[in-house]
Amino acid sequence: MGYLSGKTAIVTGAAQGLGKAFAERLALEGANVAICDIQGDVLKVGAALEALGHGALARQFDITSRTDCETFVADTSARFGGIHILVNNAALWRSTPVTDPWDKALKDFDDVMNVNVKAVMVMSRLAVPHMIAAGGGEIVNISTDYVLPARRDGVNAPDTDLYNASKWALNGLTDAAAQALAGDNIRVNNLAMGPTDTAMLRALFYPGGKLEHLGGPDGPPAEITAGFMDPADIAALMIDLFKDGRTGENIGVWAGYPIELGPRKRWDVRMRERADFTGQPLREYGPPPWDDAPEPVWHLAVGRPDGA
Amino acid sequence: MGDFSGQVAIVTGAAVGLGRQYAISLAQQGCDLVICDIRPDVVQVAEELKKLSVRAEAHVANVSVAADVRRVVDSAISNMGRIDLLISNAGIWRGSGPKDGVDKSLEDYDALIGTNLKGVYMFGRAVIPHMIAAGGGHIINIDTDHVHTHPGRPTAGGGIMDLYDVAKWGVLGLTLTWAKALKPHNIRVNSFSMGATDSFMLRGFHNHAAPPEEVAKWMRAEDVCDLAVQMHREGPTGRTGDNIGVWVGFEIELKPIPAAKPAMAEA
Repeated sequence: MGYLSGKTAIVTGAAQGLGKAFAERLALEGANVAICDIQGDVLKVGAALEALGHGALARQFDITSRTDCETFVADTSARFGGIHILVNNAALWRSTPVTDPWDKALKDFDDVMNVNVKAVMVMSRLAVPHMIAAGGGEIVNISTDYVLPARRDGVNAPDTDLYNASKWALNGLTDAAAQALAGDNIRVNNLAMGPTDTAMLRALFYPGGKLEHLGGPDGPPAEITAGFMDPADIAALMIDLFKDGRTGENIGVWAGYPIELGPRKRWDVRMRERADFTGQPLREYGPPPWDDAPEPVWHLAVGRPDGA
Repeated sequence: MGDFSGQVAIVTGAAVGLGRQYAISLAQQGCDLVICDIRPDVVQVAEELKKLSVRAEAHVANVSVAADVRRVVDSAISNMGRIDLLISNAGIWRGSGPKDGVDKSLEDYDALIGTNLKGVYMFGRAVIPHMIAAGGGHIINIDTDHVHTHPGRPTAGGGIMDLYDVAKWGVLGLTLTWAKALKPHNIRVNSFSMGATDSFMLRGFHNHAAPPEEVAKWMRAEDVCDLAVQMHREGPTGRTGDNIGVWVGFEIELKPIPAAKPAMAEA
């Protein structure tokens, strides 16, 4: 019996890559998984999980459709009886050079933000009442290591202003939710990853970054992909995160560094790696790190104190 | 005649409070101004600016409406001929939180992201081609101290304004990316993360009836706006990609221009 037996997890964007790895690992830990994606392969992922004896519900829909999200969440709760984990993994990457024509610039804003921010908000809003009813839960938002300037300069390629802004924006949802939901035993964190071997990343090496080119010639060379992190390792880290019980943090995961949670962060730097973004080290501000992050009253690893 | 004479700045949300003060502080340095606000009072502000012997034009415009953004920027170019500085100051505030229903959340999202993030995005994207063509420029985005807190203060607005913070973190993402993308074009992009400042928004929190002893605790708009003037005065070799923390109880000052960060320094 896995430690997530009897728990239910939703993973968005689970047809491939990280989402698929998250779903597989959650199922392996005993959770029922409800997965969705705009790509039809999500149904195959669901069928494969069911064939292995896991509780799985798979739906193909566009995460920007509010009504589809509502139906999905309601059906998940009805089928498995409650929702305990939400992994907001679905995301859209698009090249958006600052010199783009005006009409493209306008469309890109809505396209990127609707998937990467608005849908995260909607799915979280829908899941939170179920988590409160279940006595607690975990929300994981998927960010990027560009938002942790200690080891990066805060941005990636200069032609991705909207993707960057959307990932920075997640800090707002995660930080506020961690604080507002702490009393409900709901923890909210970001996984902020460097290059991980996913369809999204591999597609960037093809013309236009289009997924349909995947597998064709001109893909990323082996010496590049050798530096990618394995989605399964990130999924394992997510389980560690649940067992740790921390909340309101950007968990940095950098290629070339150990894939680990690291120490808990001070409240005033949970969302960032530096006291500001100008390269001034934290220690300029004096006192040694203090940590008043609340110990979890309970978390998924140990169950509720009342045994429910 | 100030040292910004011959330059043109756009200031959004300039009918009241901080936006109006940015415009005045720049005009006192001789800068011509194109200002906009959703409030019709912005027209009177332009009249005040003209008394400071600068050119000024006002637009009643909603920064979350693409056509309005275009109208302001196109007019600035056709009437003033150039844009040296953009201060994306217009912003709104609403409470929102993770326990809100979807209907309220979507409404809040449209309002807060529309004005505070998309407005900043659209104004930036509209002026950038003109700045590139002119060989340089400067963009200042207005952020919040929820993002860049003073030492020891938790990030975020305490869990009750998540979408406001979403927009403001997003603004930081734009600031940093634009700074990097536009460095080859000599366009600087910076932001301010301000704490409590005597602004229309903060006075609005207190229903415009804040007692004087409360107002006395806030930073003065003139002092904050003077930082923008100082930062603009740094000129083409000045800082870029900097998010300046401006906090009650701390010196209101620009830190030295930070050294360039290594792309992948050891932690």
